[in-house]
Amino acid sequence: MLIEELRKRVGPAPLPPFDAKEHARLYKAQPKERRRIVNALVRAGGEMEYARLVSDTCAPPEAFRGLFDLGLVTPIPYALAPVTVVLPLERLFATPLLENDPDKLVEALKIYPREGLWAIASKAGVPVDGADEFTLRARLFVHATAGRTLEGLPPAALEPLRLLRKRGWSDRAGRFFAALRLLPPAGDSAANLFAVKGPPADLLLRMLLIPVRSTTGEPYYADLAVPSELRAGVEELLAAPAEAPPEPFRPPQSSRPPATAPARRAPASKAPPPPPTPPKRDPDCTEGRTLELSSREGRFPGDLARFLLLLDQEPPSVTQKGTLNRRDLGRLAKRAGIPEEEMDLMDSAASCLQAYESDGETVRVAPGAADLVGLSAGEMARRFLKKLPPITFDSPYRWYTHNQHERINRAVRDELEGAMTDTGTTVCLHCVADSLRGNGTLLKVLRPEDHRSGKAARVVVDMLGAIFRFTGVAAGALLDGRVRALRLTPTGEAALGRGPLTVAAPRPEEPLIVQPSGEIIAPRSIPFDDLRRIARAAEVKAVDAVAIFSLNRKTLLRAAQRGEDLEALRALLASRSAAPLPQTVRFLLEEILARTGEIEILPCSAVIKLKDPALLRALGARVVPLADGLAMLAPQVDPAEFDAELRKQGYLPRMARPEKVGAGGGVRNFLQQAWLSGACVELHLRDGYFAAGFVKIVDGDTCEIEPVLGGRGRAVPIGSIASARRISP
Amino acid sequence: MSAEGEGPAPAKPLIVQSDQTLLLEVENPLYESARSELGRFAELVKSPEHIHTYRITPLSLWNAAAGGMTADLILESLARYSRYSLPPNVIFEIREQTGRYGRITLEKRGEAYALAFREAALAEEVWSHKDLRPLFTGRSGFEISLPGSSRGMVKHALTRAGYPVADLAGYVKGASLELSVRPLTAAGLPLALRAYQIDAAEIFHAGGSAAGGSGVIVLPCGAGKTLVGMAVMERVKTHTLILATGGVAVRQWRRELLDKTTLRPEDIGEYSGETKDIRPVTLATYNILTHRKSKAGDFTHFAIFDRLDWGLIIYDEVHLLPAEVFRATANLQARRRLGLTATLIREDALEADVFSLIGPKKYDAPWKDLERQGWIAPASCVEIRVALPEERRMTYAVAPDREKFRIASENPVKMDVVHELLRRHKDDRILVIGQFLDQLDRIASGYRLPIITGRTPLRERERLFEEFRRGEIRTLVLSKVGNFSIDLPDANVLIQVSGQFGSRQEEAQRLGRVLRPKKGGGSARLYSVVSRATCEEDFAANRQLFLTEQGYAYEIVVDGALYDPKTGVWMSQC
Repeated sequence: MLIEELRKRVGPAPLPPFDAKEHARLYKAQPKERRRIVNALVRAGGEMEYARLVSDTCAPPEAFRGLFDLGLVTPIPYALAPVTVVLPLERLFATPLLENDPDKLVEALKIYPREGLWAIASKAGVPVDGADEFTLRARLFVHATAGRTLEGLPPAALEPLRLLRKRGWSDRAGRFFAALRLLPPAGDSAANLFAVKGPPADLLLRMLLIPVRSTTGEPYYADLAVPSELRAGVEELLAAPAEAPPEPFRPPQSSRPPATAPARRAPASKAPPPPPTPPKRDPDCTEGRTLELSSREGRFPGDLARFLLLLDQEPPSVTQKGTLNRRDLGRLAKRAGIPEEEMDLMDSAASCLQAYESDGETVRVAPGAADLVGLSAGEMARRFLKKLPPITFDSPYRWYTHNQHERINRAVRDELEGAMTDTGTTVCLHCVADSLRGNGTLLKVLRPEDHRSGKAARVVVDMLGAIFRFTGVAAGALLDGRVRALRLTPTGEAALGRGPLTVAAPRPEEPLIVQPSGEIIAPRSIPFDDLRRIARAAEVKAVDAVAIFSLNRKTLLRAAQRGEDLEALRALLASRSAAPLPQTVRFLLEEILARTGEIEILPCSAVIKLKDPALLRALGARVVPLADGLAMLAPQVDPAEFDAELRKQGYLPRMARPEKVGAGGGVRNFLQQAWLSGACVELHLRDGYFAAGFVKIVDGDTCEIEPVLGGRGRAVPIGSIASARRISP
Repeated sequence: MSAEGEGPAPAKPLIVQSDQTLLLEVENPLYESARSELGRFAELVKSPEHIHTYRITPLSLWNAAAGGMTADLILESLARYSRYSLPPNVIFEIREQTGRYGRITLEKRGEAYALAFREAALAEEVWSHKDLRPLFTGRSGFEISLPGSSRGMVKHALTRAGYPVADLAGYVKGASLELSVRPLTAAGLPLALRAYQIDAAEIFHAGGSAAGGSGVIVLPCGAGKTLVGMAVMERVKTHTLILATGGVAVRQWRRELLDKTTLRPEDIGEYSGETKDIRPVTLATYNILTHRKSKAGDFTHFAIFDRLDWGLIIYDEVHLLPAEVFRATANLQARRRLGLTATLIREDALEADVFSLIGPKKYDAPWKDLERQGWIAPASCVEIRVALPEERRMTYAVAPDREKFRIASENPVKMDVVHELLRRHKDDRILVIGQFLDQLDRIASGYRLPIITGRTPLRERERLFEEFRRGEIRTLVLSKVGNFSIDLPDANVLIQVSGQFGSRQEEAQRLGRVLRPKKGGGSARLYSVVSRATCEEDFAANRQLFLTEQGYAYEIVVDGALYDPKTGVWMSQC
């Protein structure tokens, strides 16, 4: 109903009459710098950021102002960028004006994804009635782009192709329902809308009131025609008398310091932090305007524990730069059930907290991680803040993804504190809220003075995102047109040293529960090292209020192949479990243990020993029987592949430790003993050759090697032997 | 709702995980009350020995909302029993999903139906959907009209899309039929419905309102699902079509109906391969319904759905419902539908379709709970592992994978075990059941036992079952035709010599054959004989999953333990 009401109020988008010849004349009459702006706008698809415009074109603000006065551009205040300018499309695509032709438009269209169409339609105020129409337009769009011409298309079809935007909308038409979704930029604009109340407000309001489709199946998304945070403001607007005539737009001064900007805090090393003061409460702050919590808020400790357990199971490799291998990280995310975009955060936090360490090739869980996962959220957050490295860095954004090698200025921490506590800070919390719902990284939380650099702001945002995810620090926000500040939870207060730290009562140690199906339920009070030991032999199902593992034949075989001590696991389960181990689990463990060593690969890697003669048949032509329980690999069989194949089949071949001597290690005595005992030996010669067989000492300097399968022996000078080892009893 | 600063409250039995699973501690004194609360808005996933697992799903929340529960009530209930604070996302999800219920309602408009919306955007969205659009006949404002034939498909599609439809259109009454459950059976035995049977029937019926009338009731084998069906029939009092798995099941339904209700023989018809008799209560088989002359031909027997004015359709063993019948069911949304099953596990993963086309799960009772109450026989399960003989081991070792299972299943050493078990249980009533006919034939001929397979004529089967019931036959060999819907109350020992790979459903159903309560409170035994160190062990582990999750623990006996020469005791566990 609200939407309908608003629609009536706003009405259709007024498009001023357009005279192509007149505009062409105007365009040509413009000074060079203005025309460069227009050309840049064409390249940017009708939209570009003012800051970029200024830096790219070196045009003074007056040039922009001139274009605005001429009605060639429309500014939209953004929270992210200082100003976004949009060229009305009847100007943009007016061929005479731009000295352009439809082919150029086609070229431009090619770089836009399909959602561009929706965005165009929405922004131009063209109602999109349904999927059919969407499909039609998509076809037209495809036609327009593939045919490289706009000729023959009816004006109505061209209408939505007017205003292009690269971002701000997502097309979810592939699902059950076609759905549009307002992404943060639109929300930002909306946040500003009720403060500005100027011409852009109309435009934005129309933008928001496009019949946005509801999504289906996405749990954290409701109708977003009007963001819920803005509802109060919208209602207020509706209740207000008719809107005043639009005020002329005044482009912001890039050098202007924001009136509400907080003083930057001095670095902690230079001045002691001020005593904790509660943030000033804004008169507009009402409970009704607080943001919703993140859907994953508070899950971080569990996620971190799961991340570390899985990392322990399959340590990811590191790149040459020392960062975690992205593919490994992605795989971990999949197994852990953690959204991939959150893995960066997980990685960052784990790295900052030194939860893992690297040997240059892989990472492994650090010894201190056990203490870490047992911490309360507040304490974890506090440590996280303390651990932020105090060195400057070049690429703030990279910190977010590759934090272990990027370094952060200490001042960032102060900025973070400022962003989170000062009521004067301008932060677009609609974006925060959206991001916190799992839509991505927090990129759009800014303070006005950061408009120029963008760098520090991004770091603040990243860190804010990190700490929020990490502990659920921020719980709400104030909103009065522009969002003023975040409100802290008690945990956040504690983490920033502004309040007492509530320490979680230690949980009494509870026993494990091992169910007959192999499910293991481990309370979080179980020491982390024990959890790790279980995780190495079982599938990690969940780490939350309790950890749940699933123990089965597959996981046990995998653990055994990795060399895990299953005996120790059995002892651990038996000792930690309140009840005796279920017989099914006991038998499973015993069976896997019994499998170990059914096949033994003897030192020369070519002779194998089998406990069960039936296995010989199973191995087929890959082995040649030698004697009872002994066989030799066929020459064409690669021992390593053979070993891998056996493991795949569920056998756990045991590698016998070779009895080996080197050149200076008494080769002569070794050969003597081998001769006397009739053992089979393998000799590695200094010239790179090797020989294997039964040894016989011929004289003090020479021995003879007789092949295992019979045949003529070969004389080998003992002095030429680099090393020797016994390969059969 | 942060977990910060909160210590555990050990007295509380529930652990709420943020993935919306609920773990309920069985030994806790508050278990019983928590269980009955959870049953209203969460689905029981498994109920093994110590911890029962429930899951909050959109469907369970919509069902709760349909039953009048609000998000606040659910959250209050969770908070009351939860050991730790509730994860915020769980709170959010509960509010979100319960809020979705009722946003679309299905209402009757004369002969047609209409979807009614509260929001224009949602109406627009549904109206614009390309798959649904052909099912609609028109739109006016906040309503979309549709014919009765689209009712099921629209509901199904919208449910899958996350928008449950509150179906307020009600059901056709059906032609009336007077019947009631007798206080004394025809045989003169006292008959009273058990509390859980009454509960199940009441919940399904919901006082005759549109909130009830369609759904699935899940009860363990032997817990009296047929009686629940009769109790529902008694409440609805209308012409009823009962779909069952096969001829034997049809006959059993007939026998039970005549024995336990006031229906007369002339009220009950049978629609099967042999007869096509349609009466106020008609029993049909899934097979006959899905019969057609050619692959491309029509299912001519679907016409039965329109032959009488059915007011209720009962799907026995609904987990076996063929996909074709699903499609037909989509057109029967105006009629009351009751699904009955013990194991709603489908290998084709169509459980969700069962819920959306037949109806949601209305009642589910853990097996062990009914065992404790004495409504099903206590059962012990034993897995006996025997080695393959040497010559078979060699054959097994070199056999291709697909043949290994059969070689392991037909292990001749199993015969020795069967022999010992038959000897040991010579005073019991034994069913020997298996997958491979050669193996079963060998057992049957070796011990001169009667055997029932798919080839056995229906009459012959009936005769053998009857003789077994009367005690004239004490041991019966069955192929997989004995997996479902055979009612042999006195059978108390089941020896499973082979099975269909890792089918959990089959294992549970087979145990169900011996779970009928025994006179004098006797217990039931399931012996599963598997070959050691073969793939059959792996399959057996999988087969047992459902039962272990229901709280049954398998005793594993290896062949060496069969005899203890010193004590002369054989298999001390038994």
